[in-house]
Amino acid sequence: MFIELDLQSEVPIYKQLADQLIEGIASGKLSSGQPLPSVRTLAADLGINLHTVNKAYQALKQEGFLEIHRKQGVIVQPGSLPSADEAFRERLRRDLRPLAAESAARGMSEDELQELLLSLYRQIQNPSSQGGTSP
Amino acid sequence: MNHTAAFIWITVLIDLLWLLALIGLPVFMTHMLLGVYVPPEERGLPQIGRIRRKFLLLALGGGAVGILLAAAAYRFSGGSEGWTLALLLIPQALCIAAAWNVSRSQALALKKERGWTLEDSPKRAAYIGPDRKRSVSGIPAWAYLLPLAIIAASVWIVARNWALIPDPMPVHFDAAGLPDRYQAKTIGSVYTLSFVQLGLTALFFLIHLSLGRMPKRLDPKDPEGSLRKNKQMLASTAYMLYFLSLAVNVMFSFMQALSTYAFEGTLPVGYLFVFLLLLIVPLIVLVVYTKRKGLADETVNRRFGDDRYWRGGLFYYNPNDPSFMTEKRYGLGWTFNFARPASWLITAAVTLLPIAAVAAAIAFGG
Repeated sequence: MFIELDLQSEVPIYKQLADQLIEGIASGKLSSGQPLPSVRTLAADLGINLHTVNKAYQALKQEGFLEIHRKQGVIVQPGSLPSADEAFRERLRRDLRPLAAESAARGMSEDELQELLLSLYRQIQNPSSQGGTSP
Repeated sequence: MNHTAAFIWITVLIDLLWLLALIGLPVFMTHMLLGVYVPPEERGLPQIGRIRRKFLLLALGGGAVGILLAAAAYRFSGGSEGWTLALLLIPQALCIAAAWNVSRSQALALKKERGWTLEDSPKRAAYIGPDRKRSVSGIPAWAYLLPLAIIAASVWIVARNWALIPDPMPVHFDAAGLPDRYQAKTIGSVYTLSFVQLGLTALFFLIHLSLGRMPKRLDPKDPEGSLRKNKQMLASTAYMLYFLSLAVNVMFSFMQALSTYAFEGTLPVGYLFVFLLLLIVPLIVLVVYTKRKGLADETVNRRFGDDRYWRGGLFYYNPNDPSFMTEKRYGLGWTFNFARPASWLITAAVTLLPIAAVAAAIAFGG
Protein backbone atom coordinates (compact mmCIF):
# COMPACT_ATOMS: atom_id res chain seq x y z
CA MET A 1 0.00 0.00 0.00
CA PHE A 2 1.19 3.52 -0.81
CA ILE A 3 0.80 6.65 1.29
CA GLU A 4 0.39 9.77 -0.83
CA LEU A 5 0.59 13.19 0.75
CA ASP A 6 0.00 16.72 -0.47
CA LEU A 7 2.05 19.17 1.54
CA GLN A 8 0.11 22.12 0.14
CA SER A 9 -3.30 20.75 1.11
CA GLU A 10 -5.46 22.45 3.76
CA VAL A 11 -5.62 19.13 5.55
CA PRO A 12 -2.74 18.82 8.05
CA ILE A 13 -0.12 16.26 7.05
CA TYR A 14 -0.56 14.09 10.13
CA LYS A 15 -4.28 13.90 9.43
CA GLN A 16 -3.72 12.92 5.79
CA LEU A 17 -1.46 10.13 7.02
CA ALA A 18 -3.86 8.97 9.75
CA ASP A 19 -6.83 9.07 7.36
CA GLN A 20 -5.02 6.97 4.77
CA LEU A 21 -3.95 4.43 7.36
CA ILE A 22 -7.55 4.04 8.56
CA GLU A 23 -8.72 3.71 4.98
CA GLY A 24 -6.08 1.03 4.48
CA ILE A 25 -7.44 -0.87 7.46
CA ALA A 26 -11.04 -0.43 6.24
CA SER A 27 -10.24 -1.67 2.74
CA GLY A 28 -8.15 -4.57 3.95
CA LYS A 29 -5.03 -3.32 2.22
CA LEU A 30 -3.49 -3.23 5.66
CA SER A 31 -4.12 -6.59 7.24
CA SER A 32 -4.55 -7.40 10.90
CA GLY A 33 -1.22 -7.49 12.71
CA GLN A 34 0.71 -6.19 9.70
CA PRO A 35 3.92 -4.37 10.65
CA LEU A 36 4.22 -0.73 9.61
CA PRO A 37 7.45 1.22 9.01
CA SER A 38 9.04 2.83 12.04
CA VAL A 39 8.48 6.53 12.62
CA ARG A 40 12.00 7.35 11.48
CA THR A 41 11.83 5.21 8.34
CA LEU A 42 8.45 6.51 7.20
CA ALA A 43 9.47 10.11 7.90
CA ALA A 44 12.64 9.66 5.82
CA ASP A 45 10.73 8.03 2.97
CA LEU A 46 8.10 10.76 2.92
CA GLY A 47 10.61 13.53 3.50
CA ILE A 48 8.63 14.95 6.43
CA ASN A 49 9.38 15.62 10.08
CA LEU A 50 9.31 12.53 12.28
CA HIS A 51 7.13 14.30 14.82
CA THR A 52 4.43 14.49 12.18
CA VAL A 53 4.54 10.74 11.61
CA ASN A 54 4.67 10.17 15.35
CA LYS A 55 1.58 12.31 15.85
CA ALA A 56 -0.37 10.24 13.32
CA TYR A 57 0.79 6.94 14.81
CA GLN A 58 0.03 8.07 18.37
CA ALA A 59 -3.45 9.29 17.42
CA LEU A 60 -4.29 5.93 15.86
CA LYS A 61 -2.80 4.08 18.81
CA GLN A 62 -5.06 6.08 21.15
CA GLU A 63 -8.08 5.05 19.12
CA GLY A 64 -7.00 1.42 19.10
CA PHE A 65 -6.19 1.00 15.40
CA LEU A 66 -2.46 0.49 15.91
CA GLU A 67 -0.27 -1.10 18.52
CA ILE A 68 3.20 0.19 19.28
CA HIS A 69 5.59 -2.31 20.86
CA ARG A 70 9.13 -1.74 22.08
CA LYS A 71 10.58 -4.59 20.01
CA GLN A 72 8.14 -5.33 17.22
CA GLY A 73 7.58 -1.67 16.44
CA VAL A 74 4.32 -0.42 14.99
CA ILE A 75 1.72 -2.95 13.89
CA VAL A 76 -1.88 -2.82 12.76
CA GLN A 77 -4.26 -3.90 15.54
CA PRO A 78 -3.99 -7.70 15.58
CA GLY A 79 -7.07 -8.21 17.73
CA SER A 80 -10.51 -6.73 17.28
CA LEU A 81 -10.72 -3.22 15.93
CA PRO A 82 -12.43 -0.43 17.90
CA SER A 83 -16.19 -0.53 17.51
CA ALA A 84 -18.52 2.19 16.29
CA ASP A 85 -19.39 3.09 19.88
CA GLU A 86 -21.40 6.00 21.17
CA ALA A 87 -18.36 8.26 21.39
CA PHE A 88 -17.54 7.57 17.75
CA ARG A 89 -21.13 8.10 16.64
CA GLU A 90 -21.17 11.40 18.49
CA ARG A 91 -18.01 12.49 16.65
CA LEU A 92 -19.46 11.28 13.35
CA ARG A 93 -22.64 13.31 13.83
CA ARG A 94 -20.61 16.34 14.74
CA ASP A 95 -18.32 16.06 11.70
CA LEU A 96 -21.08 15.21 9.23
CA ARG A 97 -23.46 17.92 10.36
CA PRO A 98 -21.86 20.84 8.49
CA LEU A 99 -21.61 18.71 5.33
CA ALA A 100 -25.26 17.71 5.58
CA ALA A 101 -26.20 21.32 6.13
CA GLU A 102 -24.30 22.55 3.12
CA SER A 103 -25.76 19.77 0.97
CA ALA A 104 -29.26 20.84 2.00
CA ALA A 105 -28.44 24.50 1.44
CA ARG A 106 -27.19 23.68 -2.03
CA GLY A 107 -30.39 21.84 -2.84
CA MET A 108 -29.05 18.30 -2.88
CA SER A 109 -31.78 15.72 -2.37
CA GLU A 110 -31.81 13.15 0.45
CA ASP A 111 -31.38 10.32 -2.05
CA GLU A 112 -28.41 11.97 -3.76
CA LEU A 113 -26.68 12.50 -0.44
CA GLN A 114 -27.37 8.95 0.65
CA GLU A 115 -26.14 7.55 -2.67
CA LEU A 116 -22.94 9.58 -2.47
CA LEU A 117 -22.17 8.37 1.04
CA LEU A 118 -22.97 4.76 0.18
CA SER A 119 -20.82 4.79 -2.93
CA LEU A 120 -17.88 6.09 -0.88
CA TYR A 121 -18.43 3.41 1.73
CA ARG A 122 -18.57 0.68 -0.91
CA GLN A 123 -15.60 2.04 -2.80
CA ILE A 124 -13.46 1.86 0.30
CA GLN A 125 -14.50 -1.68 1.01
CA ASN A 126 -13.75 -2.68 -2.59
CA PRO A 127 -13.74 -6.35 -3.70
CA SER A 128 -9.93 -6.58 -3.87
CA SER A 129 -9.77 -6.56 -0.06
CA GLN A 130 -10.09 -9.79 1.95
CA GLY A 131 -13.66 -9.21 3.02
CA GLY A 132 -13.20 -5.84 4.68
CA THR A 133 -12.62 -5.26 8.33
CA SER A 134 -15.61 -3.29 9.51
CA PRO A 135 -18.42 -5.07 11.34
CA MET B 1 58.73 -7.12 -19.94
CA ASN B 2 61.41 -4.46 -19.54
CA HIS B 3 61.03 -1.39 -17.45
CA THR B 4 60.33 1.10 -20.24
CA ALA B 5 57.75 -1.06 -21.97
CA ALA B 6 55.98 -1.74 -18.67
CA PHE B 7 55.93 1.97 -17.85
CA ILE B 8 54.39 2.79 -21.24
CA TRP B 9 51.68 0.14 -20.84
CA ILE B 10 50.84 1.31 -17.36
CA THR B 11 50.72 4.93 -18.53
CA VAL B 12 48.40 4.01 -21.39
CA LEU B 13 46.09 2.15 -19.02
CA ILE B 14 46.07 4.98 -16.48
CA ASP B 15 45.33 7.51 -19.19
CA LEU B 16 42.50 5.45 -20.63
CA LEU B 17 40.88 5.26 -17.21
CA TRP B 18 41.50 8.97 -16.63
CA LEU B 19 39.89 9.97 -19.93
CA LEU B 20 37.07 7.49 -19.50
CA ALA B 21 36.17 9.06 -16.18
CA LEU B 22 36.58 12.69 -17.25
CA ILE B 23 35.02 12.44 -20.69
CA GLY B 24 32.99 9.25 -20.72
CA LEU B 25 30.73 10.07 -17.81
CA PRO B 26 29.53 13.49 -19.03
CA VAL B 27 29.04 12.18 -22.55
CA PHE B 28 27.07 9.04 -21.70
CA MET B 29 24.71 10.35 -19.08
CA THR B 30 21.41 11.15 -20.73
CA HIS B 31 19.68 12.76 -17.78
CA MET B 32 22.31 15.46 -17.38
CA LEU B 33 23.96 17.68 -19.95
CA LEU B 34 27.31 18.78 -18.54
CA GLY B 35 25.83 18.98 -15.07
CA VAL B 36 22.57 20.60 -16.22
CA TYR B 37 19.40 18.62 -15.50
CA VAL B 38 17.38 17.66 -18.59
CA PRO B 39 13.71 16.73 -18.06
CA PRO B 40 12.87 13.30 -19.57
CA GLU B 41 10.59 14.70 -22.28
CA GLU B 42 13.35 17.03 -23.53
CA ARG B 43 16.13 14.47 -23.87
CA GLY B 44 15.65 13.87 -27.57
CA LEU B 45 16.41 17.45 -28.61
CA PRO B 46 19.00 17.71 -31.41
CA GLN B 47 20.68 20.69 -29.72
CA ILE B 48 21.61 18.43 -26.82
CA GLY B 49 23.40 15.99 -29.09
CA ARG B 50 25.26 18.85 -30.71
CA ILE B 51 26.47 20.27 -27.40
CA ARG B 52 27.58 16.81 -26.26
CA ARG B 53 29.49 16.12 -29.49
CA LYS B 54 31.21 19.48 -29.30
CA PHE B 55 32.29 18.71 -25.74
CA LEU B 56 33.60 15.33 -26.88
CA LEU B 57 35.70 16.92 -29.64
CA LEU B 58 37.10 19.63 -27.38
CA ALA B 59 37.85 17.10 -24.64
CA LEU B 60 39.58 14.70 -27.02
CA GLY B 61 41.62 17.65 -28.23
CA GLY B 62 42.63 18.21 -24.63
CA GLY B 63 43.56 14.55 -24.42
CA ALA B 64 45.83 14.91 -27.45
CA VAL B 65 47.48 18.00 -25.93
CA GLY B 66 48.31 15.97 -22.82
CA ILE B 67 49.78 13.12 -24.85
CA LEU B 68 52.01 15.50 -26.83
CA LEU B 69 53.22 17.24 -23.68
CA ALA B 70 53.87 13.91 -21.99
CA ALA B 71 55.90 12.63 -24.95
CA ALA B 72 57.93 15.86 -24.91
CA ALA B 73 58.40 15.59 -21.15
CA TYR B 74 59.60 11.98 -21.47
CA ARG B 75 62.13 12.96 -24.13
CA PHE B 76 63.46 16.11 -22.49
CA SER B 77 63.56 14.87 -18.92
CA GLY B 78 65.42 11.74 -19.86
CA GLY B 79 62.62 9.34 -19.06
CA SER B 80 61.43 10.81 -15.78
CA GLU B 81 58.21 8.98 -14.86
CA GLY B 82 57.01 11.72 -12.54
CA TRP B 83 57.26 14.47 -15.12
CA THR B 84 55.74 12.34 -17.87
CA LEU B 85 52.66 11.44 -15.85
CA ALA B 86 52.31 14.97 -14.49
CA LEU B 87 52.43 16.54 -17.94
CA LEU B 88 50.03 13.91 -19.20
CA LEU B 89 47.29 13.97 -16.62
CA ILE B 90 47.29 17.57 -15.40
CA PRO B 91 47.07 19.34 -18.79
CA GLN B 92 44.41 16.82 -19.85
CA ALA B 93 42.37 17.57 -16.74
CA LEU B 94 42.76 21.33 -17.25
CA CYS B 95 41.78 21.17 -20.92
CA ILE B 96 38.79 18.96 -20.20
CA ALA B 97 37.72 21.32 -17.39
CA ALA B 98 37.89 24.22 -19.87
CA ALA B 99 35.87 22.19 -22.40
CA TRP B 100 33.36 21.46 -19.63
CA ASN B 101 32.98 25.15 -18.87
CA VAL B 102 32.47 26.10 -22.50
CA SER B 103 29.94 23.34 -23.18
CA ARG B 104 28.19 23.86 -19.86
CA SER B 105 27.52 27.52 -20.62
CA GLN B 106 25.91 26.41 -23.87
CA ALA B 107 23.87 23.87 -21.93
CA LEU B 108 22.75 26.55 -19.45
CA ALA B 109 21.72 28.82 -22.32
CA LEU B 110 19.62 25.99 -23.77
CA LYS B 111 18.10 25.35 -20.36
CA LYS B 112 17.09 29.00 -20.07
CA GLU B 113 15.61 28.95 -23.54
CA ARG B 114 13.58 25.79 -22.90
CA GLY B 115 12.75 26.43 -19.25
CA TRP B 116 14.03 23.19 -17.76
CA THR B 117 13.53 22.76 -14.05
CA LEU B 118 13.47 20.13 -11.32
CA GLU B 119 11.62 21.68 -8.44
CA ASP B 120 10.67 19.76 -5.36
CA SER B 121 7.05 18.68 -5.67
CA PRO B 122 4.65 19.30 -2.76
CA LYS B 123 3.44 15.74 -3.25
CA ARG B 124 5.03 12.79 -1.49
CA ALA B 125 4.68 9.02 -1.82
CA ALA B 126 5.94 6.12 0.27
CA TYR B 127 5.35 2.37 0.38
CA ILE B 128 4.20 0.89 3.66
CA GLY B 129 2.81 -2.38 2.33
CA PRO B 130 3.09 -5.93 3.41
CA ASP B 131 6.52 -6.87 2.11
CA ARG B 132 8.75 -4.05 3.30
CA LYS B 133 12.12 -5.65 3.83
CA ARG B 134 15.21 -4.00 5.17
CA SER B 135 17.35 -6.13 2.88
CA VAL B 136 18.04 -5.96 -0.82
CA SER B 137 16.78 -8.67 -3.14
CA GLY B 138 19.24 -10.61 -5.27
CA ILE B 139 22.24 -11.08 -3.00
CA PRO B 140 21.54 -12.53 0.46
CA ALA B 141 23.80 -11.50 3.33
CA TRP B 142 25.25 -15.00 3.69
CA ALA B 143 26.64 -14.75 0.15
CA TYR B 144 29.46 -12.74 1.68
CA LEU B 145 30.69 -15.94 3.24
CA LEU B 146 32.22 -16.76 -0.15
CA PRO B 147 34.75 -13.89 -0.18
CA LEU B 148 35.55 -14.83 3.43
CA ALA B 149 36.11 -18.40 2.29
CA ILE B 150 38.53 -17.16 -0.39
CA ILE B 151 40.48 -15.28 2.26
CA ALA B 152 40.47 -18.26 4.61
CA ALA B 153 41.65 -20.56 1.82
CA SER B 154 44.52 -18.20 0.97
CA VAL B 155 45.58 -17.94 4.61
CA TRP B 156 45.61 -21.73 4.88
CA ILE B 157 47.53 -22.27 1.63
CA VAL B 158 50.16 -19.69 2.60
CA ALA B 159 50.51 -21.36 5.99
CA ARG B 160 50.97 -24.76 4.37
CA ASN B 161 53.69 -23.35 2.12
CA TRP B 162 55.38 -21.28 4.78
CA ALA B 163 58.76 -22.87 4.17
CA LEU B 164 58.72 -21.82 0.52
CA ILE B 165 58.35 -18.13 1.35
CA PRO B 166 61.66 -16.29 0.84
CA ASP B 167 63.23 -14.52 3.80
CA PRO B 168 63.48 -11.55 3.50
CA MET B 169 60.38 -11.40 1.31
CA PRO B 170 59.60 -8.77 -1.36
CA VAL B 171 56.96 -6.28 -0.28
CA HIS B 172 57.03 -3.70 -3.06
CA PHE B 173 57.55 -3.93 -6.79
CA ASP B 174 58.42 -1.45 -9.53
CA ALA B 175 56.74 -1.00 -12.89
CA ALA B 176 58.48 -4.00 -14.45
CA GLY B 177 57.49 -6.31 -11.60
CA LEU B 178 60.93 -6.39 -10.01
CA PRO B 179 61.07 -6.16 -6.24
CA ASP B 180 62.52 -2.94 -4.86
CA ARG B 181 61.78 -3.36 -1.14
CA TYR B 182 62.16 -6.29 1.16
CA GLN B 183 60.99 -7.08 4.66
CA ALA B 184 61.73 -9.78 7.18
CA LYS B 185 59.40 -12.75 6.92
CA THR B 186 57.01 -12.48 9.84
CA ILE B 187 53.32 -13.33 10.34
CA GLY B 188 52.59 -9.61 9.99
CA SER B 189 54.42 -9.05 6.74
CA VAL B 190 53.31 -12.31 5.10
CA TYR B 191 49.66 -11.76 6.01
CA THR B 192 49.48 -8.01 5.38
CA LEU B 193 47.36 -8.57 2.29
CA SER B 194 45.03 -10.87 4.23
CA PHE B 195 44.27 -8.06 6.65
CA VAL B 196 43.63 -5.73 3.73
CA GLN B 197 41.29 -8.33 2.24
CA LEU B 198 39.38 -8.61 5.50
CA GLY B 199 39.05 -4.85 5.81
CA LEU B 200 37.85 -4.40 2.24
CA THR B 201 35.39 -7.29 2.47
CA ALA B 202 33.99 -5.82 5.68
CA LEU B 203 33.57 -2.51 3.91
CA PHE B 204 31.77 -4.08 0.97
CA PHE B 205 29.51 -5.99 3.35
CA LEU B 206 28.64 -2.86 5.33
CA ILE B 207 27.74 -1.03 2.14
CA HIS B 208 25.61 -4.02 1.09
CA LEU B 209 23.74 -3.88 4.40
CA SER B 210 23.19 -0.15 4.18
CA LEU B 211 21.66 -0.41 0.68
CA GLY B 212 18.41 -1.83 2.00
CA ARG B 213 18.15 0.73 4.74
CA MET B 214 18.32 3.81 2.54
CA PRO B 215 15.23 6.05 2.47
CA LYS B 216 12.99 5.24 -0.48
CA ARG B 217 11.54 8.51 -1.68
CA LEU B 218 9.22 7.53 -4.48
CA ASP B 219 8.10 9.57 -7.48
CA PRO B 220 4.65 10.93 -6.47
CA LYS B 221 3.53 10.81 -10.10
CA ASP B 222 4.06 7.05 -10.35
CA PRO B 223 4.67 5.43 -6.96
CA GLU B 224 4.33 1.84 -8.19
CA GLY B 225 6.74 2.21 -11.10
CA SER B 226 9.10 4.18 -8.91
CA LEU B 227 9.14 1.43 -6.29
CA ARG B 228 9.85 -1.21 -8.92
CA LYS B 229 12.75 0.80 -10.35
CA ASN B 230 14.08 1.50 -6.88
CA LYS B 231 14.24 -2.23 -6.15
CA GLN B 232 15.95 -2.88 -9.50
CA MET B 233 18.52 -0.17 -8.82
CA LEU B 234 19.34 -1.52 -5.39
CA ALA B 235 19.48 -5.14 -6.56
CA SER B 236 21.80 -4.36 -9.48
CA THR B 237 24.06 -2.30 -7.23
CA ALA B 238 24.16 -5.19 -4.75
CA TYR B 239 25.21 -7.56 -7.55
CA MET B 240 27.96 -5.21 -8.71
CA LEU B 241 29.28 -4.79 -5.18
CA TYR B 242 29.34 -8.55 -4.72
CA PHE B 243 31.29 -9.22 -7.91
CA LEU B 244 33.71 -6.44 -6.99
CA SER B 245 34.26 -7.99 -3.58
CA LEU B 246 34.97 -11.35 -5.21
CA ALA B 247 37.30 -9.82 -7.82
CA VAL B 248 39.20 -7.80 -5.23
CA ASN B 249 39.70 -10.84 -3.00
CA VAL B 250 40.82 -13.09 -5.85
CA MET B 251 43.23 -10.38 -7.00
CA PHE B 252 44.80 -9.94 -3.60
CA SER B 253 45.03 -13.69 -3.03
CA PHE B 254 46.85 -14.01 -6.34
CA MET B 255 49.22 -11.18 -5.45
CA GLN B 256 49.84 -12.72 -2.06
CA ALA B 257 50.69 -16.09 -3.59
CA LEU B 258 52.91 -14.59 -6.28
CA SER B 259 54.86 -12.50 -3.81
CA THR B 260 55.30 -15.20 -1.16
CA TYR B 261 55.58 -18.93 -1.73
CA ALA B 262 55.15 -18.74 -5.52
CA PHE B 263 57.61 -15.89 -5.96
CA GLU B 264 59.86 -16.46 -8.95
CA GLY B 265 61.92 -13.30 -9.14
CA THR B 266 59.35 -10.97 -10.63
CA LEU B 267 55.67 -10.20 -10.21
CA PRO B 268 53.93 -10.82 -13.53
CA VAL B 269 52.49 -7.39 -14.14
CA GLY B 270 50.22 -8.75 -16.84
CA TYR B 271 47.98 -10.25 -14.19
CA LEU B 272 47.41 -6.83 -12.69
CA PHE B 273 46.00 -5.57 -15.97
CA VAL B 274 43.59 -8.49 -16.06
CA PHE B 275 42.45 -7.76 -12.54
CA LEU B 276 42.04 -4.06 -13.20
CA LEU B 277 39.71 -5.03 -16.02
CA LEU B 278 37.84 -7.31 -13.61
CA LEU B 279 37.27 -4.31 -11.38
CA ILE B 280 36.22 -1.93 -14.12
CA VAL B 281 33.87 -4.25 -16.01
CA PRO B 282 31.26 -4.61 -13.23
CA LEU B 283 31.18 -0.82 -12.87
CA ILE B 284 30.67 -0.31 -16.57
CA VAL B 285 28.03 -3.03 -16.69
CA LEU B 286 26.14 -1.30 -13.87
CA VAL B 287 26.30 2.07 -15.61
CA VAL B 288 25.05 0.58 -18.89
CA TYR B 289 22.31 -1.41 -17.15
CA THR B 290 21.17 1.65 -15.21
CA LYS B 291 20.94 3.65 -18.41
CA ARG B 292 19.17 0.89 -20.36
CA LYS B 293 16.47 0.38 -17.79
CA GLY B 294 16.03 4.09 -17.20
CA LEU B 295 16.91 3.69 -13.55
CA ALA B 296 19.05 6.81 -13.22
CA ASP B 297 16.00 9.02 -12.81
CA GLU B 298 14.92 6.89 -9.89
CA THR B 299 17.92 7.89 -7.84
CA VAL B 300 17.52 11.63 -8.41
CA ASN B 301 17.61 13.89 -5.40
CA ARG B 302 13.96 14.93 -5.54
CA ARG B 303 14.23 17.57 -2.91
CA PHE B 304 17.26 19.58 -3.98
CA GLY B 305 17.99 18.25 -7.45
CA ASP B 306 17.62 21.54 -9.30
CA ASP B 307 20.68 23.06 -10.95
CA ARG B 308 20.66 26.14 -8.77
CA TYR B 309 21.83 24.10 -5.80
CA TRP B 310 24.71 22.47 -7.66
CA ARG B 311 27.76 24.63 -8.42
CA GLY B 312 29.39 23.59 -11.69
CA GLY B 313 26.81 20.83 -11.75
CA LEU B 314 28.91 18.94 -9.24
CA PHE B 315 29.02 20.57 -5.81
CA TYR B 316 25.98 20.99 -3.58
CA TYR B 317 25.79 24.51 -2.20
CA ASN B 318 22.62 25.48 -0.35
CA PRO B 319 22.81 28.04 2.47
CA ASN B 320 19.11 27.54 3.18
CA ASP B 321 19.54 23.87 3.96
CA PRO B 322 20.71 23.43 7.55
CA SER B 323 21.86 19.88 6.78
CA PHE B 324 25.51 19.15 6.52
CA MET B 325 24.98 16.45 3.90
CA THR B 326 22.33 15.70 1.30
CA GLU B 327 21.57 12.87 -1.07
CA LYS B 328 23.75 12.78 -4.14
CA ARG B 329 22.30 14.48 -7.16
CA TYR B 330 22.17 11.16 -9.00
CA GLY B 331 23.08 7.76 -7.73
CA LEU B 332 23.16 6.27 -4.27
CA GLY B 333 24.87 7.96 -1.39
CA TRP B 334 25.40 11.35 0.17
CA THR B 335 27.50 14.39 -0.51
CA PHE B 336 28.56 17.44 1.46
CA ASN B 337 26.64 20.70 1.64
CA PHE B 338 29.46 23.09 0.80
CA ALA B 339 27.55 26.03 2.25
CA ARG B 340 28.48 24.56 5.65
CA PRO B 341 32.05 25.53 6.61
CA ALA B 342 32.55 22.13 8.26
CA SER B 343 32.36 20.49 4.80
CA TRP B 344 35.32 22.54 3.63
CA LEU B 345 37.32 21.53 6.68
CA ILE B 346 36.64 17.84 6.20
CA THR B 347 37.33 17.94 2.46
CA ALA B 348 40.58 19.80 3.10
CA ALA B 349 41.61 17.31 5.77
CA VAL B 350 40.84 14.31 3.58
CA THR B 351 42.77 15.69 0.62
CA LEU B 352 45.63 17.48 2.36
CA LEU B 353 46.49 14.98 5.08
CA PRO B 354 47.64 12.23 2.70
CA ILE B 355 49.63 14.83 0.75
CA ALA B 356 51.18 16.09 4.01
CA ALA B 357 52.00 12.51 5.01
CA VAL B 358 53.73 11.88 1.69
CA ALA B 359 55.62 15.18 1.93
CA ALA B 360 56.74 14.36 5.46
CA ALA B 361 57.88 10.90 4.36
CA ILE B 362 59.94 12.44 1.57
CA ALA B 363 61.37 15.13 3.80
CA PHE B 364 62.28 12.89 6.70
CA GLY B 365 62.88 9.66 4.81
CA GLY B 366 65.90 11.18 3.20
